[in-house]
Amino acid sequence: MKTELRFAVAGRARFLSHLECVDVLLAAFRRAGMTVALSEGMRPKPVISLAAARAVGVASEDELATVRVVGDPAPEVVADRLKATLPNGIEIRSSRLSPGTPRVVSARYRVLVDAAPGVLDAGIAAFSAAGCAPVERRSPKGTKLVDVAQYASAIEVVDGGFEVEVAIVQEGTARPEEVARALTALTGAEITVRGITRTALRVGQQVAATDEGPEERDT
Amino acid sequence: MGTPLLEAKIESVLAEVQRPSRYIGGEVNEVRKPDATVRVALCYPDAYEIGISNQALQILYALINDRSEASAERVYTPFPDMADAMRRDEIPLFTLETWRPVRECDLLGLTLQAELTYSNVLETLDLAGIPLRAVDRVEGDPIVLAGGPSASNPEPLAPFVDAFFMGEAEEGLLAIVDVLSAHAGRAERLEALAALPYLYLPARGRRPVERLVYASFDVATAPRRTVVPYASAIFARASVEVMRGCTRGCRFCHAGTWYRPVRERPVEDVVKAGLEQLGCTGYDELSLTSLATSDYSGIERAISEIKAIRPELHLSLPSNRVDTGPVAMNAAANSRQGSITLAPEAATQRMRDIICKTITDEMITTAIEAAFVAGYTSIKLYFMIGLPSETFAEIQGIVDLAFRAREIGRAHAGANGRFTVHVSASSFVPKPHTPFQWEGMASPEQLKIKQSYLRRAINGRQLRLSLHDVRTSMLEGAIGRGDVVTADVIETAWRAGARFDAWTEHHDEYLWRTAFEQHGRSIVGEATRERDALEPLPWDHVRSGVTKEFLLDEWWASQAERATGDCRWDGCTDCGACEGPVRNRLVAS
Repeated sequence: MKTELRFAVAGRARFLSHLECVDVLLAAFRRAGMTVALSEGMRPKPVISLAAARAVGVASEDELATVRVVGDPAPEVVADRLKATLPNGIEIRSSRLSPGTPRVVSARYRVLVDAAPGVLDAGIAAFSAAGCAPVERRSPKGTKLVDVAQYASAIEVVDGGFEVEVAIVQEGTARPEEVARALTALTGAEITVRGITRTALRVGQQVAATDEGPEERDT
Repeated sequence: MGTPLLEAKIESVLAEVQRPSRYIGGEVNEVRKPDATVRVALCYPDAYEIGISNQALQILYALINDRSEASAERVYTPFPDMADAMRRDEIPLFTLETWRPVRECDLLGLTLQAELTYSNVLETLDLAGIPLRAVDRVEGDPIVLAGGPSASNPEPLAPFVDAFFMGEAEEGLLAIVDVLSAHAGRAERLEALAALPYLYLPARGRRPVERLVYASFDVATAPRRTVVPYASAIFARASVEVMRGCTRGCRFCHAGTWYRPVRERPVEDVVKAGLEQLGCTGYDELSLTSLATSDYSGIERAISEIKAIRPELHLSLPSNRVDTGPVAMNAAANSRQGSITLAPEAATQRMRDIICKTITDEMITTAIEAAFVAGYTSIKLYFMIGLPSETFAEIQGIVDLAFRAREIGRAHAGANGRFTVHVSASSFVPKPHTPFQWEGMASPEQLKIKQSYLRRAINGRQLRLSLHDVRTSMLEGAIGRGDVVTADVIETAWRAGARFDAWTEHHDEYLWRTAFEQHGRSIVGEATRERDALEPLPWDHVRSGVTKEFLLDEWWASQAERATGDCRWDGCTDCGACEGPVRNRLVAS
């Protein structure tokens, strides 16, 4: 059986990469005296996966890990033992028996920004009306246009910034800072991102959990 | 903690640099003591992933933090992208633990593990806002202390360092913390430090300085809590130093002279420390380290006691003698047999006699066979090229041995079996305080011809070859035996942009060539020049404990192609190391 853990990443720990987070969790399991099961096959890997890779620098109030622990300890036991061995900035929020492989369909973000009064309201109104909000995404592979409007919804102004729901689909997703850039483009006014926190991951219908077959470590 | 403004600036640049986890601290077993009255910043002048893997700094970090009034924090040289962003945003170099400026510490302790980090020493000082040259420092600037094996020739960094620590720092560094506690002013502190016989303060002239030997190594407990690095570290495993020093006497080996005499740690302490470290770090691998772990007289007992408690544990035993016994020992220590490293260093008996590597052809081939029989699928064979009086026979010997190893592998795994013979050939660089300190390096042209031949000859299925960059080897040779003029060269090169010279992608040979020329010298000239036996050497005032007469005798013995025995088994060689308060101390005895 697998355990599903929900945890938060805050402070300096938000600068850990996705892979580093996986390794931090694995070491915490070992310090807690728990063994993460290994997959079958020629190159066994720990059966642990983190859903929806978090960008480096983004804090999170809702990360989701699925893990199989040798001996099948109860989820609450796993959480309790893990709490004592995690480094500062990573905190277990809840645990339960995994109902199946999680399929994250969207993530909600809180984006703190510096912007003149009224700019965000105007930007959100323009965004709703636009229907298309292209921004450039640069990567080592090159530059491409991403239509943020395809993914972003439910944008609302909050204290110090805005919140946005971003869909995660097979074709891709939008990054919260890209939403801020789209708002900047639509208003022509400067919107500077000061910090991003993922506040929730929404999970769709889950594939039934099985203990058969290997599962690669999600890196 | 750092001021809110500084923290905000740091967080801002972290969002734009590669691997920001290099700068965040917060790892498991990190110690934060913001209220300490004596603050020490311990620096490995290279990237986090290199520096955090250094065992010596982990030991010193724990020792200082055990003192109630003192804190040790860590700092590594920011990678070029981070350094550029820090200069742009006027962020001073900060410690990982508290994000406070390094310049506010009482002492900046630099470990010198390799000459190619010297440009990073200047980069680190500059980013910290500490004047490069000791003579320009004023009240409020930290004391800049440098130690580690490369400090054994301090002259190339002498103008930049307030004090060099000679030898093993466990006890001596705490005496320095006492000085910092007892004295507040910079001048008073330097005055008090000058009284310690193992410290060399260049500003006070080239006075004799004695290497400090850690007398309590075999009785003090091995460190338990070590900082657990983030995933990028080159070594992420628990480690216990089972033995310090080596008297095998390999004539090229700096550590073989610098860490004499041999001291072994009791097996009980090794086992206890290893298990406790595993428990508080979460590692699934334990390394029993030393200069030659298979020589540790308690090794078999240590392995069997650890495996009895943790049968699944991966135990690594680095630096093994090339023989069947150590290979079998390695195999017994692990359930999964992957790769094993054997270091014949030279492929002919003549050359092994010259370098005093007392193993035979038969020992090498039987060790390779034993490794394949034990199930290892990758055998790494380490050699050096460019050794004194080397001929083509030595180079061909490496090729022959590689093919012989492949034959042995095929005999056990079949012609198409899954195994690799990995040959690594590094270029010999003469080091201070060794019998080869007078030797010249081979010329770059010679090294390149030899490398080229190896590349052509060691080519085929199941064979792999790796070679060292000749340019950086020559630079290492030119700096390592340098004098105080070399310090000017280093500063010139750094001012022109040299940093992270051990990283191929950042090393710029042109900068260094130009810097040497500006000071009337050349890299090749300095590296290849053989020193006269009567010529004063820049490190003559550093007393390692091993006498210059012994080193000369050994140099002459190498020219006579004659090996010298190991004093642990073959009688005293009168090297001088046991003249002090500490002598060889073996567990078995």
